[in-house]
Amino acid sequence: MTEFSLLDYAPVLVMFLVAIGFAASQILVAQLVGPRKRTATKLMPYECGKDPVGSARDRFSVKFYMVAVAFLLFDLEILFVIPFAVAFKSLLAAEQSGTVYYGTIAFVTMMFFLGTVVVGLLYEWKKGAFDWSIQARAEAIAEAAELKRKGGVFSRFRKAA
Amino acid sequence: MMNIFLAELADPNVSIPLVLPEMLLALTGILVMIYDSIRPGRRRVTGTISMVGLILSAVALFWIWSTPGQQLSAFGGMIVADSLRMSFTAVFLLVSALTILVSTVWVEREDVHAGEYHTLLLFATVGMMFMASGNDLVIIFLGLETLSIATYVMAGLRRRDLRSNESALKYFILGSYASGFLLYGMALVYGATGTTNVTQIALNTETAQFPALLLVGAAMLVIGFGFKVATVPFHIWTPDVYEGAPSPVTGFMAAGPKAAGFASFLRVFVLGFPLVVGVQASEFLHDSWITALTVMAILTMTVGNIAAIVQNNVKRMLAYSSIAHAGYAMVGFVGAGVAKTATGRDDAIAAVAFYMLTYAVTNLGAFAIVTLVARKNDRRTEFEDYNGIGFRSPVLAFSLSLFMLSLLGLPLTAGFIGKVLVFRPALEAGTSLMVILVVIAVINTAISAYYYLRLIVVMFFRERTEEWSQPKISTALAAVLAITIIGVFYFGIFGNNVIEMFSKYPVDVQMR
Amino acid sequence: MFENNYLSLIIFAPLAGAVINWFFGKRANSEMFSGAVACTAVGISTVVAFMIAFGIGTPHQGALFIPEGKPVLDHIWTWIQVGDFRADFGLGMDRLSGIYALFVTFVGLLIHIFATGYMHGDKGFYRFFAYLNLFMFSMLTLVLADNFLLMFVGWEGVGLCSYLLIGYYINKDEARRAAKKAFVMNRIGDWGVLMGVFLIFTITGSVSFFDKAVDGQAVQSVFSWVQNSANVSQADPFTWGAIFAGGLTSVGVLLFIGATGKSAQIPLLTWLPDAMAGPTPVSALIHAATMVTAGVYLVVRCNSIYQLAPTAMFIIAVIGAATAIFAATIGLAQNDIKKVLAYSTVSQLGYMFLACGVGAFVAAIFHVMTHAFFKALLFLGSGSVIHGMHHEQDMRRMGNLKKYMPITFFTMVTGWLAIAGIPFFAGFFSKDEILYKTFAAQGLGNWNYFLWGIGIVTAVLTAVYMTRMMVMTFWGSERFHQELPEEDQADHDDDDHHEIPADFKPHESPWTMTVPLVALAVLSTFGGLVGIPYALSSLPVVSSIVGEEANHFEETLKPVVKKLGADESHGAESEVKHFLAEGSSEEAAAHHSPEEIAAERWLALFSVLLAAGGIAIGWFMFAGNPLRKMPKVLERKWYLDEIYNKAIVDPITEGSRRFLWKGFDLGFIDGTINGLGSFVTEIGSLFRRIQVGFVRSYAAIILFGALVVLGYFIYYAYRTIG
Repeated sequence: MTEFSLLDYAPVLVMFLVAIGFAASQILVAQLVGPRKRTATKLMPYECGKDPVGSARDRFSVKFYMVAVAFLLFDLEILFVIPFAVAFKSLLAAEQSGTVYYGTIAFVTMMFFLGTVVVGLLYEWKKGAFDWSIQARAEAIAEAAELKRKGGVFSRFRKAA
Repeated sequence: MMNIFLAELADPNVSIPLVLPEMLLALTGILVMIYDSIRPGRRRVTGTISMVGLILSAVALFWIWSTPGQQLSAFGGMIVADSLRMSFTAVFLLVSALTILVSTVWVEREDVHAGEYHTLLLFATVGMMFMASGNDLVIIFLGLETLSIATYVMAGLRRRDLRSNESALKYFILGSYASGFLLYGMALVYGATGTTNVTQIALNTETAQFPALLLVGAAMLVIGFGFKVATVPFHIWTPDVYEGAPSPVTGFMAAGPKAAGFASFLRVFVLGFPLVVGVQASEFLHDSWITALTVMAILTMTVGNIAAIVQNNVKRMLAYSSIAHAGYAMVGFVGAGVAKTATGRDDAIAAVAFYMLTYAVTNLGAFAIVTLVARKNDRRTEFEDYNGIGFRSPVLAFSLSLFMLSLLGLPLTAGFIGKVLVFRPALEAGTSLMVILVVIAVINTAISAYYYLRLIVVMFFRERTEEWSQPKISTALAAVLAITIIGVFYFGIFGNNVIEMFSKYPVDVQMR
Repeated sequence: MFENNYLSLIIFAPLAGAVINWFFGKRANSEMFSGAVACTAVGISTVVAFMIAFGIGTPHQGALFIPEGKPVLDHIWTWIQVGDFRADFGLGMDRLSGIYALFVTFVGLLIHIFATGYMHGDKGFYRFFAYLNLFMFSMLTLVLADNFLLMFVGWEGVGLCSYLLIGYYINKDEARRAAKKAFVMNRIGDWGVLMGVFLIFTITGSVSFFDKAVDGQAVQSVFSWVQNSANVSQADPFTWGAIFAGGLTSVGVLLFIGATGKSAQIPLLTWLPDAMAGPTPVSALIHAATMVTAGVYLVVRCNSIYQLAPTAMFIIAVIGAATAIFAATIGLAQNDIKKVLAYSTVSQLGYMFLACGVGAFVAAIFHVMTHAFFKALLFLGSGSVIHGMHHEQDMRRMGNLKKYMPITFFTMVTGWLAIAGIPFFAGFFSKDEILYKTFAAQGLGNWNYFLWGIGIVTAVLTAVYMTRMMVMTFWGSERFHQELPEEDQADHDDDDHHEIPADFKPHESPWTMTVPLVALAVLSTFGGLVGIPYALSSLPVVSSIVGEEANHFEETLKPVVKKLGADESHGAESEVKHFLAEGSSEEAAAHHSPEEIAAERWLALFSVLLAAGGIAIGWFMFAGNPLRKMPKVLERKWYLDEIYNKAIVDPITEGSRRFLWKGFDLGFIDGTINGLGSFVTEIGSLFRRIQVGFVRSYAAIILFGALVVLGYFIYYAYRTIG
């Protein structure tokens, strides 16, 4: 092993700096560039979400959960990819020096895994888990159909005439 | 640095054929899932794909089974192909296939989202298969969770029914609770023996660092597995969950996951914590788990049977009866634990597998009829709803009577052979504890006559007050009835063929 | 070893008959068809049974004559084979099962024929015959099975068929209750059999009846293990502790528990009289001639086990004697003609067990056979009476039927004389032999005289109640419109009871019913002649007719019930000599000491006098006053049903309801856990209470269990460290 040197951990420091910088810059840019209209809704901390103050036993829209679950799932998948990525080079090297196809096995396995994840994503997509307006759209379509059944938007006027 | 890393690389020992059944079924599950998201609501297509997947998986299984000289373990000893795995996997596949057929009625009647249902069922089956084939605590746990999560959802599939919701939620909360125990137990066992491989655990007991840790870990495992197979007092969730879940799912849960629980329970305890003469830790461990399981078996069958007597709901009665049957199966389990020779142990394991097979066939047959009689929303599941249907729907009534008689253990039916086989190994051990266990088990089978018979009496001797419209028996259901009835007789009369098959590949762990 | 594959035909022919009737009977919708199928099926069994038993047209000797009692075997397939445990689906006919098979098939055939007449016009004709054939299949499986496990198949099968047939009149409330009672009581007994079989397996490592070789593997039988001299010398001592010691005595007691269930002995006897709710041919076939004697078969089959288990023998003898007299007293006071016969059956079965208990196994089997003849006859006769009386079963409303039903009358008279023990009718020889063997039994202290006394009293009672029955039915005045006492009306309020028209005349039954009656009457009269004991056959008068050594029956069964080692003998010493007797009459005479012969002759004379006395008592008591009031306690069967209900059935149902369900599921969870106080907020509404569980309660239960399990393991862990 080499001597301990604080310099080895410099990348970590850089990462921290980048993270802080990114967050700060985002807030700053929004403050500077964004249009401002001081309505009650706009002044809430989460503009399109829940009221942060109030009863905790309110009903949430289930969509929040859906997003949270989907996020958690896909986020956790990365946990599996990172160790693979770290070890892959040495596995390839081992494959070249030995008889066992370590690298190939690892690669195929990982591709299979990612494929499964992609399938999951496709499934979510197709099921409409990311679509926040299914219900609104369905209602609109139903309303339109109803109107059409009654003879169109202008039937009232026609009757009057 | 590179060299150190290489030195630690173990041979991955990949063997696709060995996991082919699981892989095929998982792929089928994914296929069904995708198909359903692209073209939703096509029950027949998803059902057919699932059946094809199950059949392919079964073919793969029998291919491994009948190929001589195939390797016994792979993936660094995490997956094994012994008769424990093979026989239980066969049970799971049969259970799933029958469940799909049984649920056609229900799926159409209630307009359930069939694609999701079939997907979940297939994933649950994959989970069960891994529970049987995994020779490593981690694989077993993964399988168990795959199975559990799928079944939680299946229990709540009747979304608009409060009972079904309640059932799913209860199952989920209590199931996670029990999984916690299981995981903790696995961690402790790992801590004590330094390995998660079951075969290795057995070898490491001698050098176990902290014998106390091992014992507490084993206790946690007993609790966790006990929940899965519903032994008293960890059975408490069963009646509510079984009653609330849709009938075909209940049938599935009583047959499949329970068998899967037994598969890994058997593997971890019988093969992982065997008696090694002369090693104190092992002697204590073996002695304590045998005694604990014996007491639990006695409690389980007694409570199950006596509680079943007073039930007025058929599904609830069958739920308690399934508890009692878990108790009988545990007699064989304990028998495997106390077996003196490796062949004796393997025979006992095969006996438990055979018992689960007979129970699964009989139980699914019964649930097929319960589903049919129940009508929409599982309304008609009380005993009264069966009043006097005996000669109005003779096919249903006689088949149901046959299943009841088989559950009761009447000779020439599957249930009898199953019982004889699981009681035998315990008796062969000959210790007084085992004799008491078997005596109580046999008394319990006598008690159980009372409530199984009650259903028959109700069907044939009671006057019917409401009108009875004969339910239509669809082709799928007719197939289920045919398979289960033939199964009940075949296993009862020619059961020997199956048992021979079930003990073809001895477990690769020697007795010491 | 003798193989004969036709043996399986005996059991499978009735099964085929049952299947055909079941699937095609309804479609054919013809009584001719159903009846013909059923009778042909049993006919085939009968013919094959006779052929194999007597060796007619078979390549080997008849099963009854093969030396040393070796069986004719038929291995059909291997049923279970795991480890050392092997049970085949195989049949075996040796001398014992041969005799059983003969009378079961033959009596069964006659009853089938009778039933085609009796069940005429019944809606479920085909169903009835399907069940009846299924019963024949089960009974023959029981008898011909070559191992305990397959015998258990038959054992359970006959129970199931009996259940189906008792409950055949499904609209009758009585039938339904009787059926369930029979099944549950039998299940209690079956527990004993199953445990006994398991125990036999653990002791001997086999469940086979016969030594044989299957698939090149030698199978040792249970009995050759038992008869092995090393094991014989370790016979259980005559102590109560032996019952629980897990040895052969335990086996004997367990098997006998099964026998009490199937053969309606104390304490499991109440189901049999109730079972009379089934059709009469069923009562004759199942509840008199065949199924109920299965218990005797089991005990005799295991005689070598019992010979080493004196305590079990003693229990059997006492229970048998007690049942015999107990049932006979009840039989005195019954008014239903079938109930009288039912109690009589129970009582006669008691005799058979008494015989087994004192070691007279041959006598027991002999009585089983003669009893099958005369009791089937009496039941069929009563069926004929009931048929002629338009389903009236109450004897108080009969009388003077001999005028209207002469054939029934004459045949029943032979049955009556046979059961009462009048010389040269079948019952005389068998009953007399049992009484003598009881008297001469040794190793029971002085108990044998006491048991013999009970036997004698029972014999008198038997003659009395049978005479009462005959008098009430066939003699005296015609009481067809007799008003019954108020309290009995309720019992007879069923669908089958038709009001008898004012100008009612009973009629004789059709030939299908009378022919079997006549055949059975012949058997009841002469059937006993195959087993005349030496003491009687050596009388000059008798020997000039039948020859001196005329006890063919005992000769035949000798190899099956051979006496084990002489020293730890229980039972009759004189038996040993009987058993040792081989072949010629000189030898036989040498083994019958003159004193014994004289004693036997005197006892025979004594029992003849008793029988005659009993008939006389019956005649004088009832001929003048057939409606004589009998003691209430006898009529109510010593209140046995009431006692059972109060003492056993009610507490169990109540207990499981109160304690286990309400107490455990509802009370314990909701009460104990929620009752902790602050835990509970919304308890109280009944709705919730019924809905049972809160998840938290369940979690608490699981936690509780987990703590117990953990505590237990930690206790062990503590021991490991310490």
